[in-house]
Amino acid sequence: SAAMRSLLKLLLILSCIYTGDGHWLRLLTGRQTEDGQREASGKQREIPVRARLPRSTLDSQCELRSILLKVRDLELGYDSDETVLFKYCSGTCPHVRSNHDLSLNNLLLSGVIPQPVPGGQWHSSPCCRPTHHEDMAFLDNSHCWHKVEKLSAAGCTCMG
Amino acid sequence: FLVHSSVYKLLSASLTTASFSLLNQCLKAAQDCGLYEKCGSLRSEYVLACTKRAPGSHRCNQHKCYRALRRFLERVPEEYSLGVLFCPCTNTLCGERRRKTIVPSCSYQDMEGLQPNCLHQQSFCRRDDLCRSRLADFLNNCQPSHLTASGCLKDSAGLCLRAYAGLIGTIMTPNYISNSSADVSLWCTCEGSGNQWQECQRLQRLFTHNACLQTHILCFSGMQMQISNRCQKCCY
Repeated sequence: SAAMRSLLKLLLILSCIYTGDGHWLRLLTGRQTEDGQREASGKQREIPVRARLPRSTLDSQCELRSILLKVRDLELGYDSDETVLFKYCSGTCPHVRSNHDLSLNNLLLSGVIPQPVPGGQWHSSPCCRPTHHEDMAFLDNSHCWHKVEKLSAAGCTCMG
Repeated sequence: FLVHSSVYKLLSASLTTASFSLLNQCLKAAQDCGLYEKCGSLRSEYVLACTKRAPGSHRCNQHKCYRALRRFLERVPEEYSLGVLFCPCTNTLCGERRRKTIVPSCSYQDMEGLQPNCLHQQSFCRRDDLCRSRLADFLNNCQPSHLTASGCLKDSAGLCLRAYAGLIGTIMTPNYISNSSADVSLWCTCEGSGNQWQECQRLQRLFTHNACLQTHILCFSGMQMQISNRCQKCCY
């Protein structure tokens, strides 16, 4: 029975590794290929877009993502054929509800706090937002230099 | 050597596939720079530094502009930085973009249009450690010669272009003088040189009438097809 117990313990540990550590392994290899891709695409000339679509819950974590765009596609009104690597924050944030969030939700449901006006939003969980931004400059089609301040995100965090 | 031959191959490949009349090669070089994050961000940095008005004046901060330009040229891989500086042009739109690359309104021209004397500029340069070494590199590697096939005294394998690029962001920053040719010049004049007129002219002509430099500029951009053997001999 001692042998049975240790066998059971072994099986338990192995199952943890499968669900828990397997999770870690996938995360690590996922990161490596992303970085590998990033390295490669940085030096390649053919890659048109580097946006990453969420393939699994792991890839939809709050992260800095990038997409290659023409300046005119930003629809800010500039007439330029130059391209910009637009970086933005997107992804889910771990939802840890505080007592505030729980109470707020209850009060909204019970009607004590009025419903949000159309346009106003109540976020009941943290959201993925930039920590700071980067400026960007380009030459337009009339050969004038333009600068767009705080165009791209430079880092992301879960806020609130 | 290997780096430059691969760069030349890359450029010739891109030139043969692109149709000259439709595609602006300098725009393409800017787009390639945008593809590589480091190039795009450092390029934006120098443009911002060179277009920002210094507080209390309508001029730019030339010192900051110079420093940001040097950072760009030092930190970005040559295939991108030199690609943006020496892109080939067949029309004035492309030529104008090329001329504006280094934000000449700040890094090259004076707002009032005044040009210093070339020899004065050179002596200012020599007083600064960095400029002095960059100038020495340029004089060393871009020395023209009638005797060699490449037009250069040294078969310097791309060192001439690098040395020329090294002057950008110093007191002796050269630039393209028009949008319809690849002619370059310093922003200076030989007026007021007195007895040293010839020496001044010699210095100016090292930029305006330098067969070695011109060959390197055109070879890099793949333009000098008719004297391709000269290009082969010189570096790539």
